[in-house]
Amino acid sequence: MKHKIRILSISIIILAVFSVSTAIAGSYNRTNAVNYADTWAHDRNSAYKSYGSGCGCTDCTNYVSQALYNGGYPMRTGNWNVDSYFEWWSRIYLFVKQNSKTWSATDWFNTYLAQFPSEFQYVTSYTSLSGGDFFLLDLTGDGIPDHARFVVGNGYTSTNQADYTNGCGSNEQIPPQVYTLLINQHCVDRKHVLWNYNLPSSTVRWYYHVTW
Amino acid sequence: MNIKFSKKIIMLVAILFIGVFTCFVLLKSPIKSLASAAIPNNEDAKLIQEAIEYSYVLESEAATTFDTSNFIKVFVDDQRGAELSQEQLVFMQKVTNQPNTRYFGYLTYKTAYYNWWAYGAIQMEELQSKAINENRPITKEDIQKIIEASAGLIPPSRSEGDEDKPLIRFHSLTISGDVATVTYDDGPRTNESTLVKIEGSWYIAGNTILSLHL
Repeated sequence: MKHKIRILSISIIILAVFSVSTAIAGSYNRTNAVNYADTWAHDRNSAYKSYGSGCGCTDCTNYVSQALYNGGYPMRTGNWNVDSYFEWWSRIYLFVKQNSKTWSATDWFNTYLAQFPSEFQYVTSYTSLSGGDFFLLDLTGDGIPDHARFVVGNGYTSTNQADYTNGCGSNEQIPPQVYTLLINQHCVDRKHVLWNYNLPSSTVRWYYHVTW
Repeated sequence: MNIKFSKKIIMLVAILFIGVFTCFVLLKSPIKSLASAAIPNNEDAKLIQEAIEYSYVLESEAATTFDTSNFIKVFVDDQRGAELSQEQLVFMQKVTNQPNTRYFGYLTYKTAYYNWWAYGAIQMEELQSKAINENRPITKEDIQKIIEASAGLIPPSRSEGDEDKPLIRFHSLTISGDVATVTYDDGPRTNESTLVKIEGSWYIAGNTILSLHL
């Protein structure tokens, strides 16, 4: 009897694990990811740790990670090790908001992506990007990314002044409206701006297409 | 009365014409730039601003073609320029495999940076073509090989050269003999560049990023 129960238990566990993994794999919902990115473009979701807002904030990769997760790309919790290149997670633990470095630091995030090329496809052109994808940028000239932008698809660029500031209280000129590939980002917070807004072409970049 | 009125009309038309012409020239220029009142109005100041603007044209070309042969026209190795940032120094130590070297000139740095970019991007492009031809996905091992050959850094993508023309806003410019210090904004960064005058021409010998605001 005990033997039968043990076999039954093992069978249930195997079935459960199998059904969960098949339900998650390939279930990245780009619409949900973009909707999340749009909802929180100019705000911070209190369910996650925030890396600031306004002048000098560093919340860009945290924002991209949140959009990915809310699009259905699952966390890799492993041992809940903050310093692992193989984990990617955010949680509230003993009332404290935490996340792995791969979740919020652009260089760590890029290293994580390189571990999973079947989930994040490196692409050579921005024309291969669509809503739900993202790209990273090196603005300091050290070969390591320090900024992340989230692609929200094609559409007309924003004409809202809130999307064109320098993050420190000064407004920038609103560019003429065009139909193009759009991005959202945190720090400086922008919603539906030209994918390469304010970006000199000499900026090193890493384009990623989500293939989960 | 009529003559006075006509004069006013002529003046107004002239001012309008000058305004429209200035806007047209600024928009047609490959690099749009705006100068503030803290910029001296002399020949050297003009040459210095032109050198900075031209550096963006050359870097933009190099980002798509990876041809850095023209960098010697705007960048120079000169100890009077600002030193590289700590991160840039580490980058140079990695790509040159000289972990103990503390000084690299700005021309050497710029050339090395684009060579590193070129190597990684071309390797990744070739890998992608190969994977497509072999009808297989790119693996972690494929990428790891390129990373190892790329100074341990993850290879980036090539620029397609169709980005916004940077709007350069010059904030201040001071000249002290053959050395000039210029602060300006290029869109995502506020920079402080050091330029040196060599045989009548100004070259960028160093740059410090003062703030980021992409």
